[in-house]
Amino acid sequence: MEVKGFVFSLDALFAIAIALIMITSSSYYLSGINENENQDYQIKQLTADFITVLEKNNSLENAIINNNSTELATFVNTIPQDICLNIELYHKNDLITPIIVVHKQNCESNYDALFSIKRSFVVENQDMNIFLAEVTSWRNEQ
Amino acid sequence: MRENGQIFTTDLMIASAIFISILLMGIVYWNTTTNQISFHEEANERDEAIRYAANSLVSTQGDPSNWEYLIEISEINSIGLVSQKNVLDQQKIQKLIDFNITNYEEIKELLGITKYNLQILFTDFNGMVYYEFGLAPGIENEVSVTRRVALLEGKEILIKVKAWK
Repeated sequence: MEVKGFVFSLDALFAIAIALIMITSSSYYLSGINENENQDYQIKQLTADFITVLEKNNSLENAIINNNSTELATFVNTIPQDICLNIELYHKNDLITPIIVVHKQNCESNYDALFSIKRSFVVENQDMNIFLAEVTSWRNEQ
Repeated sequence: MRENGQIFTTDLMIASAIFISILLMGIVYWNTTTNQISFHEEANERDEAIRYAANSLVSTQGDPSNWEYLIEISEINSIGLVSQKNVLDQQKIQKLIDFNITNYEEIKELLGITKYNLQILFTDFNGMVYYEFGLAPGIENEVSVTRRVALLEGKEILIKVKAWK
């Protein structure tokens, strides 16, 4: 009888332990619901806006024509502080080595949440005139 | 017999205490989780509403595309502030600002944000405000904010759309 009682208690203890583990682990997962979803969406959307704006105000084209990254660097360093941004421009014949690279200052890469958008653009007074811009962004956690 | 009864009672009391504490924990946890989920659901719904509104503002011309020249707001089907994607039209912005006093509720409806209060700010990257539509949220409000970037006469403009209940 005593042994049976002991087995039953052990069984109950296991059940309680499992229930507590389940409650704790589900609480852990539920506490993180969607906290960053909107922020991530915003960074993606802003990245798309940045590349569109840089294309429409001819900053990408000017950087290639003048072989000068000053205009892009000025833009990158004035965007809202909570966003980091890299811009790389490639010629269509060499998509490995960028012609121009611009990094936002005081930003370390957060490899957990990088968003990257590539867009091709045309520079009219160049012979081989198709280029590719790659804009990468992430949250500035500093 | 008496001893057996006592053992049974102690056993029962301990079991009841454990059961009640687990039940209480379960109820508290259930309550907290339900509140958390409804809070997130509400925030997500608000976020989605302003994303849709912001997208309409910076990606479309509105319907009709010359809505800024119409006098009656009832003739407008949707509001957009650009002449082309991410290029703001100053006349459209000015018309939106003009509607602020007389047709705030109708504009919210056109942007699909009837359930919330709305503020739209047009600033530069340093925070200098060029245009403002709607009301300012209080500190106590749970506010959803979405940001978009567009050009206005060649200058980069940050558009902040805020919504709260």
